[in-house]
Amino acid sequence: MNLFTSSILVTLFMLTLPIMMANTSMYINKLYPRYVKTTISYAFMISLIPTMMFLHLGQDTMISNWHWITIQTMKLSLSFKFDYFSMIFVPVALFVTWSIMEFSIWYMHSDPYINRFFKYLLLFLITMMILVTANNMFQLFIGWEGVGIMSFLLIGWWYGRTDANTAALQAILYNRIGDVGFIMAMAWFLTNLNTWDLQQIFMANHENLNIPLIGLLLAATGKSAQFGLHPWLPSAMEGPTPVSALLHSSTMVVAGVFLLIRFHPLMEHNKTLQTITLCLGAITTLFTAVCALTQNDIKKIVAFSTSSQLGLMIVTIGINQPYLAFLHICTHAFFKAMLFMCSGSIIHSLNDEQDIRKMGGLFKALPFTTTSLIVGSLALTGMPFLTGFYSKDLIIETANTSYTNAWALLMTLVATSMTAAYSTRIMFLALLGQPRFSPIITINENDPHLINSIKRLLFGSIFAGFLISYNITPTTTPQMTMPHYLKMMALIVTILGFILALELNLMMQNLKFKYPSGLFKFSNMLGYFPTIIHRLMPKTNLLMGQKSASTLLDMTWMEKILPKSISHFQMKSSTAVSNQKGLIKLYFMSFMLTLTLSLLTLSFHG
Amino acid sequence: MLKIIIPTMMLIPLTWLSKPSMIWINTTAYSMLISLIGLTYLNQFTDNNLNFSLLFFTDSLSAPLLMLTTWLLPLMLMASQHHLSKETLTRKKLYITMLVTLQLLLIMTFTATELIMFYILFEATLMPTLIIITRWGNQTERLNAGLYFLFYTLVGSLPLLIALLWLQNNLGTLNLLVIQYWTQPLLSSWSNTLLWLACMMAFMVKMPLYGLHLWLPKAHVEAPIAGSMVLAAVLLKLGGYGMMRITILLNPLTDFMAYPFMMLSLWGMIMTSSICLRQTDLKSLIAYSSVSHMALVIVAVLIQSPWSYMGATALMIAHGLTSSMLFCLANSNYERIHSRTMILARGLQTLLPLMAAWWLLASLTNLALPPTINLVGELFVVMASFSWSNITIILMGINITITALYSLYMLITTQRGKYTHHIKNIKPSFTRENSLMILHLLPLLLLSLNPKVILGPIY
Repeated sequence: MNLFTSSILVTLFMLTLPIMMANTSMYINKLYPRYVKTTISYAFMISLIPTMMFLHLGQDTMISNWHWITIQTMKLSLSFKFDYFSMIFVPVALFVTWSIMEFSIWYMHSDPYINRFFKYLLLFLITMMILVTANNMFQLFIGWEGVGIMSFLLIGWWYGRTDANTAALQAILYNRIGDVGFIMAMAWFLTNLNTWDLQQIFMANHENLNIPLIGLLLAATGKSAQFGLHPWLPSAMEGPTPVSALLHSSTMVVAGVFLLIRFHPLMEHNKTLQTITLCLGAITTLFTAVCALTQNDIKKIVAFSTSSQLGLMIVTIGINQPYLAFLHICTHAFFKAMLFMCSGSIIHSLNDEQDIRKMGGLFKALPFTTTSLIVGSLALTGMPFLTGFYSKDLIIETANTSYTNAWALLMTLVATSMTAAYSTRIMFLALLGQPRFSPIITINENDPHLINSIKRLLFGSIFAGFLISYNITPTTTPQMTMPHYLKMMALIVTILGFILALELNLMMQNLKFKYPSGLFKFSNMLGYFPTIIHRLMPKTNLLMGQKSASTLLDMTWMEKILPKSISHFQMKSSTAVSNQKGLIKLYFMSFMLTLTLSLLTLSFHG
Repeated sequence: MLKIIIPTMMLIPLTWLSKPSMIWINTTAYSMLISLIGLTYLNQFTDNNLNFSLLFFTDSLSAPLLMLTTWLLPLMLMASQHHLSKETLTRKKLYITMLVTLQLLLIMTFTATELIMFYILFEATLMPTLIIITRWGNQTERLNAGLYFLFYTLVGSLPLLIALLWLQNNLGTLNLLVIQYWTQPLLSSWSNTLLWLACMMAFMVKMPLYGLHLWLPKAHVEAPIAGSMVLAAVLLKLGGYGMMRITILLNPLTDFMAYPFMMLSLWGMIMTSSICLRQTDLKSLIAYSSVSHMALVIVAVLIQSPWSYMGATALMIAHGLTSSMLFCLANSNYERIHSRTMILARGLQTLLPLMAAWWLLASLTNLALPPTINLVGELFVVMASFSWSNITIILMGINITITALYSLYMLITTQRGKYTHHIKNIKPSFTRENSLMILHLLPLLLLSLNPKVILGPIY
């Protein structure tokens, strides 16, 4: 027994303190956001202790704390798994969240409910921690659903706006479809393996794991916004920018990828599922990159680039390299959170203007934000020796040298090149050139909360990749030798993307396209996906609910067949059978006649 | 057993002899004390039953339901105060007396040892409910609703009486503790099929099974708040309880007879959920969501595996508390807006933030957020049906998705968005209402910590 478990539990416990404090007078205090921020920074520091120990010793730990329930032969208890994945992820997530919290103090300072906002962010972080450290599927599910519900609350933060509510509902709907997959996997494990504990699941030797793996893939598709269930991610940009930075860059959306990484021991021998995963990832990464190319909303572009990177992670899992995918999760967190925060800074400075066509020339007005944005974009494209390079380059190299589906590989390469293209577009339109925003604007980025938070992530975007990949031992042997053209492939396609985008943007300034081409429309309209899926499907469903379920079956058939018809037939038959026809006059007449007759006979009898 | 029954009976003189200002407080406090007695029965330390007398017993299946019944009476009393504030004193007392009578009958129903006694009490609960619905409902449609309620349940349950008489003749006893040892396997024949139907239909109607559920939305919508609460929370559970008790007589025929009802439930739960998506009437939405949740219980009881029984019991308790809470919330809206139409009560979060928190929690429990007992129940039912047939996961999945959708649709429509102008001068939420919500939520949360008390006898 050493400090390992106690220090990690202290980290987790510390995070709950501000939530508990929410009942005290501290919550009414204006300093509550700072308490939260400081708590997270302390939690980050403390979490470094077990991570260092893990890096030094490399020991997996599993602790089982509180026995919840035993159902027949299945024991469910509160247990945590501190292995490679959770031990690296926890400090990364805490570091990123720390910066985002500080950023939110600046971004949300005028919100009357800023304390509640911080509480929600923190609750979200806690559920995410539960998710990554869970050792059984039930606990994982608690984190999984908790993340979904907190995202509902955070995306719908400005609840007066219809768009925000729609986006929140959309997020829940798509996540819920994924949850069905998760529940299916749980059901399968329960019926076939009789356990939800991760170790026992991995030990099991089962012939055909297709059903649970498809369930898990569906879950990951929902949570990580893979093709088919992707529209919620860009819609979720309706939430406040810190929410986008936290949820949609580094934590919630990677939960799906994380789940697949967790269950990778089941997947590594299943070729069918790997191919499906690979193709799904490739389609996602290409499709969302295409969509990002023509968007004008700065947050939407960043959101689509997130989606594209998630696709890349799924591709990595498809080529059987979960550790690389995990490395990409960690490195991606830094620069993507920073990109969101930079766009938040720009949006705030330009009075909530999100359209990149109305920006331009910001490098003079916002020098620090510009620097960070450029570094972040370069890191995103995989510029050598920035953070993104260490994972992205390796992924592309490994994909290139593996015996994989050439089509999927090609898609991924095209998407990589497009990453450079849309990054260029943001830089070109928002930062360079002449200002196109309205002149009366108070641009100010000199707030220590803003500067410090972005600065911290800026250092992260430059050095974190090196630090992480230097310190963790490679678990799968990477391919060390390859031809030059394969080695340079990632770099070449990226540079190609840069040059093409630069040329196109320059051309766009001088020339005006007459009519948008079909391809442009496809990309700008997000592949017509929302139009088709968000119009047709709900309309059909709601119409079916109304017409067939409610009106036809419930109100007509069932009511007619049982109560109405019974009462109707009763009425009819009773009127038909009875000889009382309501002829009162006649009845009284006959009554009177009988009466008089009988009286007469009686009186004359005597 | 008398230590619950006699205090409950004494609630009636307490009501009639209390000072006019004290009738609500006295009865609420007293009934709350009674519910504390029931708490001890939750601790079923052995697998055997707790036999109180020849007539009454309780085991881990009926104890949670008994607890739910006793817990609900103070909540009903708290919820109805505003509804009755304009009535005369005698009528108030009469109303409380009706609720107390209903509780008394329900307690005895859940603990009855003899099936015939169970049957009589089961039918007797109809009377106070009918009076509550038809006398204190808000609209004239209440008479129609009462008629539907009475006829559906009576038509369903009369064959049960005949079946029970026949069984008594055959087995020589209807004692629940004895028949599980004496019962003969029911082989497949036409008369046995009829016997199966006679035994089950009474409870199927009560649950209600999709197709026979028409009385439920009507009764729920027209009943006063206490009526809706007790209907959703306890009276529907009588069906589930009865089914679980009587299936021991009906094996192995259930395996074969279950199919049509299973199909109907699986289909019906999706249908009723989709109806929920299109409801404009808040109470009707909650009522239909009850039908959809109860369909899960029917599926679970018909599958008859240990996991499904555990799921069914947990889901019954969880749904009892959740739907009752939702009805209370709907009622607190109704008392302010004077309409059940959801679109008239938009954006309430701005005006009543604490109420919005209760709405949020109630919706989340309704969509079975882990680790609430609603999830425990639903998850177990899904597991059981998955192992029964893998394909059912598709239907269950659709239902899970739609359930989440309509719960949040309800939340968003009533709480989010811009508030309308006619609700600007509504009353703030009372402490009474807030504590009512807490008293619903507290058991839900506490039971999540230790769900095994409500997992039934097979656990």
